[in-house]
Amino acid sequence: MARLETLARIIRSKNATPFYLTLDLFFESKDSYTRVKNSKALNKEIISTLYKVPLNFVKDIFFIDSVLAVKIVMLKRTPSGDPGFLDIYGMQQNIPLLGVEIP
Amino acid sequence: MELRVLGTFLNHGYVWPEDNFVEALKTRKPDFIAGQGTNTDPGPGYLGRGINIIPKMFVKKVRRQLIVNAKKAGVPFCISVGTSGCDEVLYKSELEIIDEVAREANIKVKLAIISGEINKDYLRGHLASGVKIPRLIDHPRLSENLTLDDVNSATRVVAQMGHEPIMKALDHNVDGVITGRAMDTALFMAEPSRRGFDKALVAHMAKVMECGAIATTLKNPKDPPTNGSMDGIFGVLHDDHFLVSPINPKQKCTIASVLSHSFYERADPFVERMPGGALNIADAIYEQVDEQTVKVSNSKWIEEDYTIKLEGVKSIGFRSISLMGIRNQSTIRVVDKLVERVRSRLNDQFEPLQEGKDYNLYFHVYGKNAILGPIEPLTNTDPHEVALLAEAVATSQELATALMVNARVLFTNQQFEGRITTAGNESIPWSPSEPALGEVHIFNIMHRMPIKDPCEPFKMDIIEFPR
Repeated sequence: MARLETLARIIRSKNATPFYLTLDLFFESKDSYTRVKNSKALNKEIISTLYKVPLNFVKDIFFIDSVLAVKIVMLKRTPSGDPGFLDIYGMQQNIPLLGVEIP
Repeated sequence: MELRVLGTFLNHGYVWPEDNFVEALKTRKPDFIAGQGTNTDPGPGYLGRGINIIPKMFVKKVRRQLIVNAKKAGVPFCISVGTSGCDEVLYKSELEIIDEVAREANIKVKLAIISGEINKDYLRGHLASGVKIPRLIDHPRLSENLTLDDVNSATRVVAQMGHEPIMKALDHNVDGVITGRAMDTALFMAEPSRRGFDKALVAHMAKVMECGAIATTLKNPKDPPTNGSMDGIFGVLHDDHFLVSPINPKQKCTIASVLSHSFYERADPFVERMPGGALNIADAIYEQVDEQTVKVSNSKWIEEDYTIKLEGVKSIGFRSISLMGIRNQSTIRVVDKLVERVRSRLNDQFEPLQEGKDYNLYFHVYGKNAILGPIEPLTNTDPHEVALLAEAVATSQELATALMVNARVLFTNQQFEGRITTAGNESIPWSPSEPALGEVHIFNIMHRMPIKDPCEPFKMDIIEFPR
């Protein structure tokens, strides 16, 4: 097992409109990318659990082989600017992903 | 056919290197300049209050850089301005700034000014005629179809214009076009569309260039860290491909840098929906042609019904805050309990007003979980210092401040087992200590409105400066 943060070079989060959060992962080595992709450890269920959103909030998980990247798209629990949530741009929301264990 | 496009750094109001821009104007001979200055990234507050995120003195500085240099070189420009792109910024501060710039530089400029704000009566008219305006995003916080109540309660509504109103403006032989809210890509698509280039390539080049040098990367990764991504970008459009390269000599475009940018802030990495159709880049071909330049071809365009994205916000009250610093371990250990006691005592004190109806209270502990809240994976840490940020959003500013003053006093003086700080539980950073932060807005409209004439909702004026 390896933590996801030891396999990906970039793990970033950002709003896409005030209502979506997107997580982008970029890998340096094809081996790490393929290991993560084939493990199926990044799936809608785990994202829903980690981010405490209903399963139907997790819209898509794209594996983009051509650039060794993964893109995760979900509806935000709290839209940008609604009181109670202090990350207007969504730029610090990558943290729950870092510790995902990849077989 | 060939068309040369200079993309300026995004947002048009932050620091950007004028030298590279002037050099690119001189040596690379662009046919036009484009750059974005509107977005929803900074949240609903700017549309709600009708203000620009960038202060006027700074907008003037970058506007001077653009307008004076572009006029001197005889190159037309298309930019969007104002953060939210509302009329309040466009017609008040922006026109004043351009007037001052033209006067001080002793130049004459003829500009097309296009509003991006949507009149609420225009929306009511559409709703009354039975047009369905579905939500853009399937989020439960938005009405499935736009309602009259959404429109009535909105403080302001803007729409992202497509490239058509800008094309029409360019027909007036202007030195430049300044728009309110617009699709970033529309600014880059207007001129090439006028000249009849392939729509898919026009849209794809616009998408790569819309954020300036974000689609580039450092040429030598060993160079010291720079803000090289805060700079311009250059595109050359041909009949069956386009070329893209940076204008900063220390940057380069690579296949990866161009491709990664197409994922950024997007809900779909392959399909970009625009007002009259969708750009599909799934089969696009990327080639590195020299150290700095990437060639792109084989983009696809799928025609769709013409719709524009509406964005609106409504007011939900007024915010005051209190920031309290805590350094004592004995206090940090029980901070969550203290906060809950503060909340319940406040609720008692402010009766018959009710939390949830007349006001809402939020407490965030920086150092523990203020940023991630319930999804913070680390729960057993023992920080040596935390900041407690208390927020009230209430029906009046006075009530919000009264809540915060009382929250702070209740926190200061709370007794608990093991308390050694009997003079007070926190450090108070400022005097006065409970800043009033003004009106609070939230997004309530993010819908897709079908329209027949892409120019219809967007008012245009031709103005010569100085006025």
